[in-house]
Amino acid sequence: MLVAFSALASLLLIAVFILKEGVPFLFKYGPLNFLLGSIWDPQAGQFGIYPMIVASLWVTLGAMAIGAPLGIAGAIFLNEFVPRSVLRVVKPAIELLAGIPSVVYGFLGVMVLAPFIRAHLGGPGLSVLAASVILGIMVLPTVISISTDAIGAVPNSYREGALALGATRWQSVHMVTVKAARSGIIASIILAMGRALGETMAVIMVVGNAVKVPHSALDSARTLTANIALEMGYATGLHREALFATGVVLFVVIMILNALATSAIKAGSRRS
Amino acid sequence: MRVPPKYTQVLAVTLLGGATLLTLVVLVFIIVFVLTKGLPTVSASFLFTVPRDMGRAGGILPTLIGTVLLPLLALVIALPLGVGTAVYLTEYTRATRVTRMLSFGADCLAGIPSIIFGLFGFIFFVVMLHMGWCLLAGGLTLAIMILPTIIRTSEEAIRAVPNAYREVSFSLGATRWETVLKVVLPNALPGIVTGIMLGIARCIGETAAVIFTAGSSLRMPTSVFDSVRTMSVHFYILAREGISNENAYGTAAVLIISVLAVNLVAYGLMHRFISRRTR
Amino acid sequence: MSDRAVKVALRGFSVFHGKEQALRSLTMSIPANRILGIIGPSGSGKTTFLRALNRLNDLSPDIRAEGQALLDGEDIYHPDYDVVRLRKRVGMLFALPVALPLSIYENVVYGPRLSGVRDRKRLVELVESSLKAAFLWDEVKDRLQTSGMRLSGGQQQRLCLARVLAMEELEMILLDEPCSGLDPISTAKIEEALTLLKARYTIVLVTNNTKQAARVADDTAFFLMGDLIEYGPTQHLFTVPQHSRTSDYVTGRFG
Repeated sequence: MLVAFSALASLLLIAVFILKEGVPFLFKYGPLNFLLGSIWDPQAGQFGIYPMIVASLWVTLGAMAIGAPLGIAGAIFLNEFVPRSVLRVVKPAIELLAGIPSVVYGFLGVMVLAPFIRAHLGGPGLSVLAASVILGIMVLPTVISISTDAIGAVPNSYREGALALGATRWQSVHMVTVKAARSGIIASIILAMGRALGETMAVIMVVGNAVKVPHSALDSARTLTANIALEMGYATGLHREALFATGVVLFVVIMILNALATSAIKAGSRRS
Repeated sequence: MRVPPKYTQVLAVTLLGGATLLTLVVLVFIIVFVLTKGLPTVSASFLFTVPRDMGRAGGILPTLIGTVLLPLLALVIALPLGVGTAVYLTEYTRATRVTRMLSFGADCLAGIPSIIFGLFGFIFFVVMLHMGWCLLAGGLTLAIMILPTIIRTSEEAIRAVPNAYREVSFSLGATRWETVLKVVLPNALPGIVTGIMLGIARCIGETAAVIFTAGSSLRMPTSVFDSVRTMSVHFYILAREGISNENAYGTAAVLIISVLAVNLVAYGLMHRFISRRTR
Repeated sequence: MSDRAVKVALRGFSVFHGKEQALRSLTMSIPANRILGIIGPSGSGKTTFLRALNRLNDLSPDIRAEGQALLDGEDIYHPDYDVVRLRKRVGMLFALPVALPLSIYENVVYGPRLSGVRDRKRLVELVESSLKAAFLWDEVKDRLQTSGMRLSGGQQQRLCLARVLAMEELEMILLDEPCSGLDPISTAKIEEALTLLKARYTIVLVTNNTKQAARVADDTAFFLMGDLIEYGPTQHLFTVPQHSRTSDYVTGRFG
C-alpha cells in the first residue's frame, strides 16, 4: 500500500529539499567561515552564524537549567508522593498546557517577564535570560510527561524491595526508582533540548534579536531559529541560501538529539 | 552528625512538592492572565467582524475562518494517509524491516521543529510548485506535520481492537479488507478521533510553519489558492508590530480557549474509549 | 462408515507450528450429516485440527499444513482454492462466545450482508429463522436492536450459532468447546440445537467434556499429542475402546 510510505516519503522530501537549498551554500561560503564567522551582515555578503550558535546554545542550556530540575522534581513528586487520583487529573492538565501556542508564551514574556528583568536585573529586558525562562516553562510539559512515564514504568518490586530493607520513601525513590528510570528521564531532557533548540516564535519575541555574541544572560541575542524566521521573509539569493544552510545545521543537530533520545529510551527498556 | 533519613525525606518532599506547585502555578497563571486580559475584548462583534486598519480596530473574522479552514484542509489530506498507514502497519504486515523503516520515518517526522516545516513548505509548495502563499500550501505543510500524530494514535487504536473480533469476521467469510472496514476501523474510531483532535489542536497553535506557507493576508479567502491568516499568525503580528495590545490579548484569549476546548474533547473521547473497552 | 456420504476426507494431513508438528499425518473421513465429537487432553491438536478445516490457521503466519484435506472431493489447501468462500460454507463457533459490538440483528446479518444479501425482508426472515434454530428467538425477539454484548454468556453463544446459521451457503459447522463455562441450561439448549441441525449440516464438535461427546456425538475421535488414536461410533469408543490409552482417557485416568 503506497499510502503507508507517505510519512517516509515526506521525511525524505523534507530532508532532500532543505539540504538541496542549504548545502550548496556551505560549499560556496565554506563551512568553517559559516559556523565560526562572527559577522552576520547579509548586505555585505558576510554570513557568519557564530553569534547565533552561541545564543542558541545559551538559551537552550538556560532553558534546560530551569526546565529539567523543575520537570524532574515534578515528575518524581507526582509519581511517588501523591495519590493516583491526583496524578490522573494533573497529568492531562499539564499536557493540556502544552497545547498553548508558543506565541502566547512569547507575548507574555514581552509583557510581563522582560519588563521585570529590565526593572530588577538591568539590561534591555529582552534577553537570553528572558528566552531561557520562557523556554524553560515551555519544555516543562515534555520533561514531566516523559519522565512520569519512565518513573511509572519502574516495577513496584523495586520500590518495595528498598522499603523492605528499611529505607524511607524518599530514599527508595532517589536510590532505586530514579536510577531505574534514568534512561527515560535522560531521554526526556534530550527531547526537551531538541524542542527548545527548535523553538522559534516565542524566542523571537523575547530574546532581543541583536546579532552579537551574548556575554551575559542579560544581553540581547539572536538564536538560529530567530535568524531564519526574521529574515526569510525578504531574503533572496545568497542570503536565502545562507538561511537554509542555518536550517540544515538546526535540522542535523535536532535529528541527532532525537536519535540519542530514542536510543536512550531503547537502552532503558532493554535493561529492564 | 548524620541527618536522620526521616528529616531528609521531609525536606525532599517539601522541595519536590514546592517545585511541582511552582510549575502548576506558573502554567495556570499564564492561562488566567491571558484570559483576564483578553476576554473583555472578546465579543460577538470581535469574533465576527473584519479587522480594520491592519488590525488596530475591528474584529478577527477572517483569521477565525483561516484557523478553521487550515486544519480542516490538513486533516482532509492527513487523515486518509495516516489511517491508511496505520492500517498497513498493523493489519497487513508482520513486523519486518519495511514496517520498522516506516515507523522510524513517522517518528523522525514527529521530531522536526516547525520552523523547518515552514522552510520546507516555503521552498517546495510556495516556490517550486508555484502555489504562492496560500491555503493549499499551508494545508499540505500542516498535513505532513500532523501525519505522525494521526499515524500513532490510529495505530494504537487499531491494535486495541480485540483479535477475537477479527477472527469472528474472518470465520464468517470476510476478506481482510472487509474485516478492516466493517469491524476494525469502527471499533478504533474513538481513538482515531482523539488523534484528529490532537492534530487540530497542534494546527491551531502553529505559527512558524503557517506564516511561511499560508501567508498573512487579512482578506477573506475565496479559494484554496488565496493567502489566509490564522489567529496565531494574527496574534503574532499584532504583538510584534505593537499594533494593538488589546486586540492581541483578545485574539490570544480566543486562541487559548479554542485549543483548550479541542484538547478537552480529545481527552473526553479518550476516556470514553478506555471505559468502553474495559466494560 | 464407508457406505455413508463423506463430507471431508483427510489423507496424510499434518500441521506444523513453526518447527513443532501439531498434527501427525492424519488419515480419516468425516461423514456428512452426523455429529463428530473430538476428545482428548489439551495440547492434543484438537483446536488446530478444527481451525485447519476452515483454514483459520492461515491467520497465523508460522502455521503450515501438508497433505490433503478434501471438502466434497476438493483440496481446500490448493493455492487456487477460494478461502473466503470456504469459510462461508464451513462456519465456526469459538470457546469464548464473541458477540460483535453490534446489535443482535446486525450480528446475525453480518455474514449474509458480506455475501451480498441486501433485501430487507429476506434479512429479517433470515434473522428469525436463524435465531429460532439456535433456540434464542423467544428470548430476544423483542430487542433485536439492543447490543449483542448485553446478552448472557449462554445467550451470546447461541447468538454466535445463529450468526453461523444465517449463512446461506453453510454446509458444515465447527464448534471449539462451545459450552465450556456455560450454565447447564444453555449447554442443553445448544446440544439440542446441534442434534436437530445435523439433519442439514455436518457437525464437528471439539469438547473437553467426554460426557458431552457421549451425549451428543454420533462418532467420536480421540486425539492424543497430535495423533489420531481411535475413531469410531461413539458407543463403541466409550464402551469397548480398542486402545488402552483411549480407555484410560474416557475413564478419567488422565485428562
